[in-house]
Amino acid sequence: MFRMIGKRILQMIPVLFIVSVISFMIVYFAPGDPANMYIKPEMNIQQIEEIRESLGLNASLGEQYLGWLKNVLHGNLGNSLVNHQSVADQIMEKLPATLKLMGVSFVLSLVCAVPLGLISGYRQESRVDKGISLFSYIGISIPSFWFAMMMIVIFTLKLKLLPNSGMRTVGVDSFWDQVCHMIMPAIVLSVYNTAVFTRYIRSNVVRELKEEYVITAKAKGVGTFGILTKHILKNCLLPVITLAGMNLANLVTGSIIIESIFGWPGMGTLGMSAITSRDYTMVMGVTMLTCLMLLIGNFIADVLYSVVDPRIKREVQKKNG
Amino acid sequence: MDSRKDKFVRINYQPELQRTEYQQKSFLHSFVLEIKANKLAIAAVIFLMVIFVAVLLAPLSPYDPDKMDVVHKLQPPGNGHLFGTDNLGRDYFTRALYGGRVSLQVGFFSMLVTIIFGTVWGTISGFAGGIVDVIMMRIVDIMMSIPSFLLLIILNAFIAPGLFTMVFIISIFAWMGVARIVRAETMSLKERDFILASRCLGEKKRNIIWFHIIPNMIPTVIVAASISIANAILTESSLSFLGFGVQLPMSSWGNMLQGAQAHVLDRPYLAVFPGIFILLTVLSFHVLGDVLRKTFERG
Repeated sequence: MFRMIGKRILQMIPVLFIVSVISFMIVYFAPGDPANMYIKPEMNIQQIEEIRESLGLNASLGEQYLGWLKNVLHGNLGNSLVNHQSVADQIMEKLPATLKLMGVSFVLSLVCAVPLGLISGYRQESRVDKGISLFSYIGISIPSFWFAMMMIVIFTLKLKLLPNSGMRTVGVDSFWDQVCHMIMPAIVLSVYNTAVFTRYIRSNVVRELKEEYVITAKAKGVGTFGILTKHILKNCLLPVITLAGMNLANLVTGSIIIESIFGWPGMGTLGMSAITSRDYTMVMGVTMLTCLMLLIGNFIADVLYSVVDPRIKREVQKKNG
Repeated sequence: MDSRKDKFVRINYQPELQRTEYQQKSFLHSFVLEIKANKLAIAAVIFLMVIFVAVLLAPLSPYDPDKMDVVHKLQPPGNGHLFGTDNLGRDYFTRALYGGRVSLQVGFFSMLVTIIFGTVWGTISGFAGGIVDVIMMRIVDIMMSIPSFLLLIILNAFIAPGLFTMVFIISIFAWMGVARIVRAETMSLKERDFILASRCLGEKKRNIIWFHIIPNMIPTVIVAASISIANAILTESSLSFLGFGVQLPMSSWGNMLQGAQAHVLDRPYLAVFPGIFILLTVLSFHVLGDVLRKTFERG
C-alpha cells in the first residue's frame, strides 16, 4: 500500500516537470516583453539593458528555465511583474476560495446525481427516466458561461434574488450572505458533473439490477428502497470515485470560466487577469499550482479507490511483485 | 394433466434464424430503426440537418454579416431582422449563421485531427505493447493531467488565433481520450483469431493494422468522433467567449455571446439565440453519439 502511494507520488514529478517546460516555453516565445513593465520613458537604452539583465531576460531559454526551476525548488515562485508581490503569497490567498467553490459544487453534484441516477436506472425507459436523461444531456451540453449568464439575467436582474458577483457583500459578515453568493456559481459549476455522474450511476444501476445478489435480496424480502440504497448504491459509488478523479479537470476548467464571470476571488480570476496583463511569473505559478491540484486529486481518487476496493490493491501488489 | 401440459407449450424459438435475420440488416438500416425508436434522436437529427443547410446557405441572406448600420442598432427581433440587430446594427440572424459556419468548422476539423491522431497513437501503442506501450501511455497520462484549459487560454492569448491555429490548439489537448479507447480496442482485437491467422500468413504488421485492426475499430471511432465534435464546439465557444478564441470581426457563437454580455440587461435575446444554438448543436451530437453506440452494440 505505502509502496503504491510512494510510487504514485514519484510519478507526479515528471508530469510537473513536463508541464512546467511546456508552459515556460509558451510564455517564453510569446510576443511582448516583460521588461516593458519596468521601463519608464526617460530611461536610456543602457538603463533598459540593465533592467533586462537584472530580470534575467537576456539569458537563453534554457538558462532562464533553469533559473526559474532553481527558485521554485527553493520554494520561491518569484514576484508578480504587475504588483511586485510574491506570487506564492497571492496564490495562497486566493486558493481557499477556489477550493471552497469546487468542494461545494462537487458535493452538490453528488447529492443530486445519486438519487437521479438511482431512480432513472431503476425505472428504466419510463417517463421519469427519459426526463432525467434529457436533463443529463442538457447538463453535458450546456456551455457553462452561457448558463451562468442566463442565471444572472434571471435571478439577479429580473427577480433580484441573488447577488451576481463576489464572495460576500462588503461590510456584511453573515453566513447567509455567503451562502447567497455561493448558490449560483456552485450550481453552474456542478451541472456538468451532476450530468456525468447521473449517466454513469444510471448505467451501473441497470447493469447491477441484473446481478444475482439483487434477486437474493428480493427473495429475502428487501424492499426496492433497501435494494437500491443498501446493495446497489454501494457497488455504484465505488467507480464514481475514479470518475470524480478523472473529472477534476472539468471542475478546474469550469472554475476558471465561472470565477471570471461571477467575480469569484479565486485562482481562476487570478490566472485570467495574469494572462491578460502578461504577468508571466504569475501565469507560471497559477499553471503549476493548477496542475499540482489535478495530480493530487487524481492521486487521492486512486488511493481511495484501492482502499475501498481491496481487489485493486491486490492487483497492484501482484504487478509490483 | 392435459390442461397443465398446455401451459408448458414449447415456444417456437429459433435463435439461429433470428441471428441471421438480424445480420442481414445493413448498418444504416438498424441505425435508422434505432433513431426512429427514439424521439430525442429524431429531433437531434432534424436539428443538425437544419443547421447544416442553414449554415451552408448563409450567403443567401440579404444582409452582409459585417456591414454595420448604426442607425438600426439593437433592434428587437422582427421587422426584417429575424433575430434583430446587434450593437453595431449588424443583422443578428446572418451573423449567427456565419458564426455557425465557424463553430461547426472548428468542431469538425478539430474532430478530424483529434480522431486521426488519437487513432494512430492508440493503435501503435496497443499493437506494439511492451515498453513502447508503457511510454506512449505515460505520455497520454501526462497530457491528461495537464490543466489544458489554462494552457489553451495562454496559447491563444499569446498566438493570434486564426481558424486553423484554433483547430490545432484544441486538438492538442483532446486526442488522449480517443487514444485510450482505441488502445483498449486494439489490445482486444489483436488477440482475435483472424489477426493471428493473418500473422501466420506472414502479413506485414503495417498491413495488419491498416486492413484488419483499423477497419474493425471504426464503430468505436465513429462514436468517439461524434462526442469529440461536441466537445470541440464547446471548447471553442468558451475560448471565444473569454475573448481568446475566434477574433472579431469574424463571428462565432462564442464571441457573439461575448458581445451580448454588455447588453444582457436591455437585450437579453442577443444572449439567448447563440447560446441556444450552441446548446442544441452540442446536445444533438451527444444524442447522435449515443444512438450510434447503441446501434453498434446491438449489431
